[in-house]
Amino acid sequence: MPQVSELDPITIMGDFSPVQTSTQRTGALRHASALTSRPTRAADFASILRAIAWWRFAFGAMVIAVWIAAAVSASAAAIALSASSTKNADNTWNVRLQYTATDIGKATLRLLVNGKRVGAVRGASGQVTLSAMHDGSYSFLLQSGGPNGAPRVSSNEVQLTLGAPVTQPVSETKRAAARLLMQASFGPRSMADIDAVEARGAAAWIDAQFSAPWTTHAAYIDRVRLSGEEVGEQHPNEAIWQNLIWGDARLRARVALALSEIMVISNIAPDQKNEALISWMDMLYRNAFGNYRKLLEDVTLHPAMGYYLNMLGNDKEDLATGRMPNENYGREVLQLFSIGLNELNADGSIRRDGAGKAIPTYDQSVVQGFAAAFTGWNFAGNNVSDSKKFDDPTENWTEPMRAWNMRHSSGPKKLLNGAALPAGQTAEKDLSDALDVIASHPNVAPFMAKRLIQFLVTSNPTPAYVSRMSAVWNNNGQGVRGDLKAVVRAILLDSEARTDNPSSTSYGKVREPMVKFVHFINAMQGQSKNSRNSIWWLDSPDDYLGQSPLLAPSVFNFFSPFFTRVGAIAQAGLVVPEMQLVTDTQIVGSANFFTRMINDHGVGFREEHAVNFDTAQWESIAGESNRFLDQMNWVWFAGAMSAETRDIISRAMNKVNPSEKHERMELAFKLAVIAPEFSIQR
Amino acid sequence: MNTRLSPSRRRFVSLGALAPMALSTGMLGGLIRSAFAQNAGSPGDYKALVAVFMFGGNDGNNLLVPLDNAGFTDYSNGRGSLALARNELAAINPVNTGGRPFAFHGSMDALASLFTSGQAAAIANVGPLVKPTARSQWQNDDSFSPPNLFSHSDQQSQWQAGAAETGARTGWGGRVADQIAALNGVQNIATAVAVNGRSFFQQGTSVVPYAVSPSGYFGFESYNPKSTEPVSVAFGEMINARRSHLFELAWNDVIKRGITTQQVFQDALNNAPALVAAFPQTGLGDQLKTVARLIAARTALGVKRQVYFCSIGGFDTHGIDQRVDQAELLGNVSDSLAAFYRATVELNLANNVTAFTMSDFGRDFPANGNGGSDHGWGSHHLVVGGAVQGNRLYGTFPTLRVNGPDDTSGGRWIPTTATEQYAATLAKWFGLSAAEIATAFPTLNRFPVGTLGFV
Repeated sequence: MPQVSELDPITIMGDFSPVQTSTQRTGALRHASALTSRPTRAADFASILRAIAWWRFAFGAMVIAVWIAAAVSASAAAIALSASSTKNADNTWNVRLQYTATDIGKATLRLLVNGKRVGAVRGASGQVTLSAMHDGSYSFLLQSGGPNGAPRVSSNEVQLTLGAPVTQPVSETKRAAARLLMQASFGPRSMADIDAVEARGAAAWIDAQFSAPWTTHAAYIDRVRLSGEEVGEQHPNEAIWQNLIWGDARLRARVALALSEIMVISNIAPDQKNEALISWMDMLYRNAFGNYRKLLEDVTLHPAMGYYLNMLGNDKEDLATGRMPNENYGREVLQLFSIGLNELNADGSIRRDGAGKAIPTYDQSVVQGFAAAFTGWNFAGNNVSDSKKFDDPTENWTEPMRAWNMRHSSGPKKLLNGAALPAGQTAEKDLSDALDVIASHPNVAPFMAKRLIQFLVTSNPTPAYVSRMSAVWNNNGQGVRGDLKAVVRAILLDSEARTDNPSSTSYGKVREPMVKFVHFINAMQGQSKNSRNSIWWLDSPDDYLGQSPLLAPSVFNFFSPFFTRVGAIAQAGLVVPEMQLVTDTQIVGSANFFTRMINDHGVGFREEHAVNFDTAQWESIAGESNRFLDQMNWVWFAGAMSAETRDIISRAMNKVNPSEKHERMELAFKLAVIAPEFSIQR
Repeated sequence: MNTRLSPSRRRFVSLGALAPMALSTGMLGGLIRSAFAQNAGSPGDYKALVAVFMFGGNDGNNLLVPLDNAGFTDYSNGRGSLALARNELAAINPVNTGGRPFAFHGSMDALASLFTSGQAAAIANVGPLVKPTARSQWQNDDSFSPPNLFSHSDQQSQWQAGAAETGARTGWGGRVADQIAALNGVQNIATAVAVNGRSFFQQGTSVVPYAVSPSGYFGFESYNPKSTEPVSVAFGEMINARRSHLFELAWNDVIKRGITTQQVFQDALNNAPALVAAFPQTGLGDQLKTVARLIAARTALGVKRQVYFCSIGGFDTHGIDQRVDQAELLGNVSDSLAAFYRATVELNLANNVTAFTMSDFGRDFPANGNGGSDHGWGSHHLVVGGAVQGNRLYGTFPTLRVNGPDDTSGGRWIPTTATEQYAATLAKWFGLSAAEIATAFPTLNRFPVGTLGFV
């Protein structure tokens, strides 16, 4: 093998094809790590020199000038590598690599570019210049293959991006599977998770999710009691997180969470009973794939809602004092849980009259009609023939409310669109009829369908998408209205959900903090011991997420579906509801919360039942930035990691020695949590 | 495990009104830079408006009660179980009511003291009005009704917008700030500060509110612009990377804004004088304490005019807990405002800072079937500050009778003072000219009197 001597110019052959960074969502079915370079055979300098003439012709002259300095160090074996680049007049680049090797004796150092050996150098320190390189991302590594079997020592991996980062196509079916997990669950849990969805296909996966078993929140509380603990106000939170994070019924959890943000009760005061909150969540989970009319009834009669919006103990009118029935539930059930304030077209747009004005769906007299229809209800388990029991019932926070007919308003009640309840009906009949009137109002389909689309898929669906879903809402194909399972299925399988839209500047949505949190815990393989956790209320924007289940600031949820952001988004006529949560306080507070969890390697308000992270799948490959980022791209970003994000994270990782995998991994995680691709689902 | 325990959740804090679309035609893309005014000047040059929004609809009928025999009789008879007894009230004797005595809710003794010593005033029966409205007009003509009356979100929006209209894109606090923002230098981020989430109230055409946490904590743990640590350097690259999706751009924008302004506020607070005044340990107490500290730091922030927004929730007292809840809530409001006033005295700025309340609506006069009260309309409000012409009741106190001359029906008072009149009075004190007031309140000319003179 020829010796490299001082000032001998040597030509390194090889097509330095750039690493195709990140992903480009095209039709090409190429795996992320496939390189398109032509085969090279630079095993040693001899063959390099032999190949000079041919490659030189093919790829232009590449000249290496090697300077060798005699430097001997007595410290532990290590190689430090750095690189810099300069642009040539012909828009190619020269890259200068500088290295210092200590304690490697006479070992030859192999130079690897993009994982391929392209040459070797000898000596304790020196420089290598690679000339006339083209735009792209390159990784450089020096490795010693010590003589007499000495252990291999690697330098730090140096990545340089020359010119603009180049995107790389990814598997289209894999991307589709990962996108489905973002829409129909809380995000991919692992590579295997994505593979399983990819193998099954969207429709089959969704259908399997419809029948996936789930454990009640009540069962969690039973476990708490069985362990000898007293049930406290933290436990409903734990029960809810347990299902969201570790439950197998992931689509049910996602839909139930969305329903909890449409038909809102909140314990923000806090003033709800633990068993009421538990029972409420179980009710939403049960109804997630049922019929809207049943959901509406269960919501209306649940004592937690009865307490929150005052239907509990809502007494009929007293003409002597002028006291009228409580209007709170009668109003909010219309404004927020079913039809909204203005008449809607099937495509979700506001109907206008001849003069171009919106048409209100109801007025004060209608609210009063519903308020009267909802009178006479109170806690179950009491004697409904005893009027005094209505005034002072025994509490029951888990069963549907029951009616005292002598406390029910008996007059006629004006309802929607001219519908009216005749005088003299029982409380039960009035309630049933009133809910029928609501559920059959034409607004319900676009109102609810659009909300569900916004929670799962995209904030600004096309009118046509909403129309298609309204149609399914109104008739599931078997003549049934309000079939939530059919609507959810249709929403997720519609082309507007399934089609990847990488060039759109507006498709998709900002992910809620709660959703990102669940995703993050899954990506970290958070471990739940004995099916318990100690994750409580995360609603503080200073310290945690600024959002937590059943802790909305009001019945209007954490954000308005109409929220827009001043500037380009508003000017484009778009809404970005979840961004209403992203205040200056919340963005800092929640970013720091994720950072703390990364540093702490877990989360929990109490050490007992704290959730520890098992990051072996990450740490084991953290020394190889490309492999690590491939996995991060899929599990964190559903295949949507941009070239910019990949470049930034990989260069940062590569400033840390490949042997310090833990540090490299944590650094990458801290950057991933603020990457836009983690917070915006497309 | 090093996770911090959550602070007590028993704070009545609200994230604020859910605003309808707020569209700005101002140039707000990209990072908002703060520029320091050359000289914030003497105390006389500085003024702050401090809004305290009571979310849920405070029952003004138990905030301010007439104590003359006829008025008190009407009150006691009409309120049923909600009527407070004389010994549950804190008496006041406004000098401009021709001798008619009144009282605040008994929990509000601190406020009553301020009122009596002339630093607080009450304004009666304020609310959104399309135009001056008599009972018969309201009953016979829909055009007299503000849109979606009795709806929380709509009435919160109309109060904050200062007009009885839907689709408002700016709040009156923001519009007022727009008019004087130039006094603070170019786009000074400290012009409008929200101490409890982000508020539509402060959204102007160019002014955008900056949200500050009452805990006073600032800063990304992973990022220091002066650091050469790999994560910090990469954090900076990440938020400046080229993006094309509108939501991704907005995401980066919020982070960048957070970083720049966090440093500005942190530095200002670190260098501000400490305060002696003790605040109640409640959410509102924390918020007003933060306001006081930021006012103390006004020179470093380079501001001469500021609009603050604080809020407290829990006022939607439909149920049996109203008496207990109101006692706690109004006591909190009273004690917090009194502490805040003392802090402004300490800063030698008592005449330069005016605090005032707002709320979605008042509540029905008679108690409802649950012993609480449902949504009303006009309600009574408070202004506190050294410049206030205190010990006076402004506006027209309603006749407390169902189906009386001030009633819609069921004891919901038709306001006799519109929100824009209330707001314009504050704006005038704040330094807006007549022309600027007309610009900020285009509907003000529907009302016979533009400003009310309470400050």
